[in-house]
Amino acid sequence: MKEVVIVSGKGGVGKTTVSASLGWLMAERMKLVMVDVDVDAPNLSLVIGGSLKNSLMIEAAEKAFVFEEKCKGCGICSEKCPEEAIQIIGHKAVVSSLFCSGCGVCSLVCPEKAIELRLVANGRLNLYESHSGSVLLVGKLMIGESGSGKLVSEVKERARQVAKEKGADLVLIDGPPGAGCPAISAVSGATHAIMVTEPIPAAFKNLKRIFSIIRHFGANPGLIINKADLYEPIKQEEIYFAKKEGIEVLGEIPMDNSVPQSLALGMPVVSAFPDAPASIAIKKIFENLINFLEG
Amino acid sequence: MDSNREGPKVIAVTGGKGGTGKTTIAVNLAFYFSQAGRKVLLADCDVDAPSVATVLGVEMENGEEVRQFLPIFDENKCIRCGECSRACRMHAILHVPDKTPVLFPELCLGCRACAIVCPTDAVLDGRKVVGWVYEAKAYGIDLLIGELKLNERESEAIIKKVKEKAMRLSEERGYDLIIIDTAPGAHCDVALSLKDSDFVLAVTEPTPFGMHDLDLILELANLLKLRHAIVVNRADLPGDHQLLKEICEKNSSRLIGEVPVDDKVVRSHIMSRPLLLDFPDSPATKAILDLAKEIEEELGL
Repeated sequence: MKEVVIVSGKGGVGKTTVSASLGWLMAERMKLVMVDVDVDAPNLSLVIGGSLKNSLMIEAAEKAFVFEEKCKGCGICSEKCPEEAIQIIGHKAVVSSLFCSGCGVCSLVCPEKAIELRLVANGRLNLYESHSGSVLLVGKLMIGESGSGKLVSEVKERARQVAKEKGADLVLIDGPPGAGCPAISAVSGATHAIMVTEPIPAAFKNLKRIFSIIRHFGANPGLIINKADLYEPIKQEEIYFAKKEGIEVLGEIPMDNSVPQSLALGMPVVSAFPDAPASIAIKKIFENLINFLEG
Repeated sequence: MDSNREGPKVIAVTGGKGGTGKTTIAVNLAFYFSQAGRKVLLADCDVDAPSVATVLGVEMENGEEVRQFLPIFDENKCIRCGECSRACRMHAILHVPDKTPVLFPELCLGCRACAIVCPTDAVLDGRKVVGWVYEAKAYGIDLLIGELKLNERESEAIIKKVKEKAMRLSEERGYDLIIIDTAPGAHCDVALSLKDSDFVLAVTEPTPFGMHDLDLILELANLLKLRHAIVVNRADLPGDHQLLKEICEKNSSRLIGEVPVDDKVVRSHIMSRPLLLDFPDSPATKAILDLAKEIEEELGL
């Protein structure tokens, strides 16, 4: 089974737009499970949609809990907490769960054994059946929560199970921006990693960052240049970089107002405006991607 | 950063969705305030995809290393009891019977739980570099840029260091204003970046994605009990104005600016210079100037 992850480094360059359209095209050809692991701002369901079949809490974080009756307010936990997440208020330790990383140091140093770590829900997993018949799994981190990397791994693991049950050929993953913990978890284990970029300096710089992560994990790298007509010289630099690093250039998408219009309609651009320049480009990219996956 | 102190006003520029124009707005606000005679520090806390330096065309050089505790096991003192492995909730330490523990450095959070529980003081104070904080200057603005080392996950350590350093520099140099550019999303890194700021500016776009993620980031700002307002970038993209109104009401926020689509913004990025400097009459510049005045009023600057 192939596992394809879409990433970018810089945010807002078109990961979800590309994922939605590629997923829509793939669903016509093969059995597919789609996954959104941009867990703190998941948007794929807004364009792929379908009906929500199942929603469950995911416990992928541990947090410190204080037994008030045991706590004497000595403050050792507060002093030793590496996240500065514990304050002594009214002679009792109070944990700010937003900043607790679940390391457990507080429970180790507490002389009264008044703190324990508990597994808590930090996210949700929503399962949709899309209009095209494929399954969409969406991971959603609770506001301000930590443990996004673990949640990403958990959602991917479930997606693999669903793919196995459904006999799917492919798992298509819409990844998070950045090159930090959630992006690392998204790329880990993927057979193919497709980078979406734009020809502007900040996108190019962060493309290089995410590529280092992809290379580290050994996924086959591909590149899609979105809004390709923004600036020719940087586009050329990006293509040169790709060729030098052995990244498959899957194609370019031109600037096209049909894209934001299709988003406003809540549809992938290839289904809302099949003859728009962006759609024609994405269909070509899709064919290249199929060859790339088989090659 | 206590909000009741004499000192700089701290504005955090965030947005939820990626690529809505956080850095563009942050950089150009910093430029405006600096030109207006204020001492401004711009801090890039989007440490796993920092863009401020690129947008302003400055090099990130001679960064200060951000180091974090990483255990070293003293072979002679270690009694192979496995306590450290059991205490490590990140599963970064593997206990192998009759051997010193095996460490997976990339999983280590630097919390020292292993050192605390070790009965024989066999866990020594090692360090790993998790990233850098760079200092630079551009167009009269002082810059602090945090960068996470590739394949490291400890972005929080870098953000903390950037904010600490911002406060230290502020004491030395007396800034009027600190502007913080955050990562996209609404996770703990963003929470940490927003924490203790005087004002949160949420930059979004009218698309359904922009609106969905705006709702999340405002919820986070409310959780942190911070004052906030919204600027809609690329305001003429198709979107649902009623939805924006509902999100404003639900989160007790307000719209204080709208920046139109303007190809001069892309030009300014390609030139790696502030939009306000080269295109003083462009529609986006005018909108950002209006926004700056709104912020001055909001913060009583």
